[in-house]
Amino acid sequence: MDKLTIKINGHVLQGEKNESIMNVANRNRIDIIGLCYCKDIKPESSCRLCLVSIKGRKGLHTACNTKIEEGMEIETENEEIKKTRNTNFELIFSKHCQNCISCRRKNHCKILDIAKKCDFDLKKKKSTFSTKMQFGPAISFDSSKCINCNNCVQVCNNQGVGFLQKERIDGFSKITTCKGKECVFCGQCLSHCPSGAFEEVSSIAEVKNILGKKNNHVVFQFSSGMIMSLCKELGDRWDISSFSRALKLLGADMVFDTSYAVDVIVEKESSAFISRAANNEKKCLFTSHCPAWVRYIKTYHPELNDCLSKNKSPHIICGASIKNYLLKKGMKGENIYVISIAPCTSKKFEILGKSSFWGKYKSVDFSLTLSEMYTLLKDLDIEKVNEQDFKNVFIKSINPYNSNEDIVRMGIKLFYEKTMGSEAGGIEFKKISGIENGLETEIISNGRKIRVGIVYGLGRAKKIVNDLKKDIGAYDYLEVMACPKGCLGGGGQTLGDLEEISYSCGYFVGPQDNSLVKEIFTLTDEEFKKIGNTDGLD
Amino acid sequence: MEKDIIEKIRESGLRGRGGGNFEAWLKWDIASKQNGRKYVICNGADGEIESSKDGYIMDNYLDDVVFGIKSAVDFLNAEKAYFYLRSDYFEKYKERLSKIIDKDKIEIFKKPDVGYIGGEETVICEVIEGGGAFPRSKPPFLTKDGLYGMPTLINNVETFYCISKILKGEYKNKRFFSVIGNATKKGVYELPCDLTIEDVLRKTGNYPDFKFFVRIGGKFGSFYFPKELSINFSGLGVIEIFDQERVDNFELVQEMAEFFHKGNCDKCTPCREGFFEIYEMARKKEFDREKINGILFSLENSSFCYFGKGAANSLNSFLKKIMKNG
Repeated sequence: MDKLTIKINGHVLQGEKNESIMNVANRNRIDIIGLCYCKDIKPESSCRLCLVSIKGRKGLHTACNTKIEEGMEIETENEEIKKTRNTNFELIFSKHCQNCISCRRKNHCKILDIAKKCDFDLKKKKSTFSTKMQFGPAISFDSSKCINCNNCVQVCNNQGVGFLQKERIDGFSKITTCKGKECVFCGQCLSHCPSGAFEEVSSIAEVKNILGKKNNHVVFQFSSGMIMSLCKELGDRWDISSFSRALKLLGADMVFDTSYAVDVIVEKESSAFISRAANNEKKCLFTSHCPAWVRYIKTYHPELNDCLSKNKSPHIICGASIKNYLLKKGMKGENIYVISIAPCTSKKFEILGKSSFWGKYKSVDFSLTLSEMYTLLKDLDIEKVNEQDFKNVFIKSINPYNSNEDIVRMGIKLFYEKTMGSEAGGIEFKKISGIENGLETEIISNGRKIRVGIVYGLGRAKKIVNDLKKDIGAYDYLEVMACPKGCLGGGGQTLGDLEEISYSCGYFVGPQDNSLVKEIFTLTDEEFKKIGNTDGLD
Repeated sequence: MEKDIIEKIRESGLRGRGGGNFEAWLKWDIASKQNGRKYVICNGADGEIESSKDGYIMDNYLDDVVFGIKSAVDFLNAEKAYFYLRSDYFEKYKERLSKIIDKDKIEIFKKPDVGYIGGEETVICEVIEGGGAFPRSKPPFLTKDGLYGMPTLINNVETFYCISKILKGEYKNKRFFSVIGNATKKGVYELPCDLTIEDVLRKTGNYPDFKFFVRIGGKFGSFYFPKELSINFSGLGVIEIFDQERVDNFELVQEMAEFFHKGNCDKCTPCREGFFEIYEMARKKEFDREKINGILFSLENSSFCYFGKGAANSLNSFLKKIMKNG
């Protein structure tokens, strides 16, 4: 690889060919102010704040999209930069309607950060025009907060959806929606919006309301691997154990690990797959864990509807199984509420779908994002939280699924063992060529080659979907997570540095009461059909 | 043959007439030295609606323009040429053009309704490729990395007309001047290149008998007082006359800011927000000079393409010269 030597503020640094100034600076902990810049997408370079001057070149240049060249001498701070940046920041801010109290970005507000760093006096300004839009039951957009950086349009296009667009009306750019397109609620617009113009549709008020009523039996569920970012956000003393206790303090009657339902699905999915294989069906089976992916297929590739697994998603099965149990115990259905917590916006849409109902009840009554959870928990006193007991808290001591690969791996393993009667060896995933973040593996079962793919990101999955349209047997099993960084990078994630978020979630130290878990999640085929199968519901 | 064409253009001293003033032979030469599939684009976006100089040329010399384009296609052995026309030109000339062009070699392309920025050369490439009206960064220059990432030669309508004249041996070092605004004899005139602005005004019978100033080079042009008119022309051949006593300076700034506000692509902050701020101040007739200077400084220093820089230049020249004292 070609190494290039450059100087930033007099420091001699090395970088790769095609690397941006911003990248090199970040890597070397040199702070360059930037608003629209996001590591994981192509720089829009629209805010014009990440300005640097380059020796021998006229004017100022944006660090996010200027590639380094051998011998380049860069300055990140001088009077000219400061003056221009301040003007541009003031111009941006004149468009942004400050509404910090209710803003989901308030703890990670780039605008406030920059104001602080630049010693900029923010005069509160009301924007002149405002359009509010709501996309289904999941996402809302407030144009008065929008600074027209275009990140949302880019990520929506990257997702292969293209629902959002920039429209120019009388010289003003507006974010609008494309006729004939549908939002899949993946929420990537939320995670990439620097000004908090996109937010999840909040269920906090309703959740508070049901928690406040004595007769209600409220059950929370979450996947323990998913909440570490939130714990980090809440403070050093937070972990899975305190998180579970905090839910009890909020008024939860029961707390469950969603991954109990993943176990159920893995088991059932491998059975479904065996029956397909037995019938020698040459057809790809798509997982249906991710509601944005399911919606994407149903909306944009309806001819592949049949490929979608008939199994409901884990949190839906988890909710229905718990309700099933509680009803059997004589509780009244209208008093039972299940609330799931995930870094996901599309679940808000999913839980309202016909197939998410279990009889006349919703399997899950509310779906909260991590961001909403933060709002609910941030003011709790950790001392009080830790006084709570673990009664009716059912969290696995170790999270068995550290990634989507783990879930798929477990499924294939079970499938293999069931079909071959012997243990599968190590299953290794290799990269799918031409598809970023795509993994695949092959196993031979009963002489038949089974090809399994995992893809993160709808835009990338689109490539495989197109391949499958030509040859429906190109893959036998396909797991897709709509968000390019998987569930952890979902639209409902908190807004800290995503790079540092991982599944690594430590241990749950509470007691393990497996007898009740077993009772709830051991479903007969007949029960599973009612609880976990979408057949006839769409 | 090849050397011959480049040499002929070089000897003529022709510079691009689209406003950039780049040496025509050099552009052709660079494009000819590239490898791979090549494209030719004739830019007929003509964002200067009032002067519509390119329209005048096409009304009178459409065959010459097409000959110029064809010559470029043949010379570069180009895959194809696009004749990019603003929508009214497209409607007006499509029939006449369809009779004289080889459709396999030249495609007439209608400029979408995206404002002035739709005439910027990298935007034209984006638009033809089916993308949005957003500029690309330069370098790479189009002669190396243009349409579909291939070497692309883009010239303005007038430049292709001149090329045709040069190749036919009929070029007489003339150019088209459009005189607009408060002029008695508005129109497009073909006159020698080396005339001063004053010469052009006098020869066309347009030299005002009132106190005046002019804007040279179209909407992005600079402003001059009569005593400064002994300069030669470079850039776009548009002279706009203003009656100094009658012009409302605030209104003119408002008009300019509105044009830039509506014509830019909205990518960068200073264009997207800055012109509107200036527009608002002009509308209220209350200038915060410090704020305006800040915006113009930022446009010059931090806009992505030449739209912001050019617009700042034009506004600066008006505010610092014509409207020096408020």
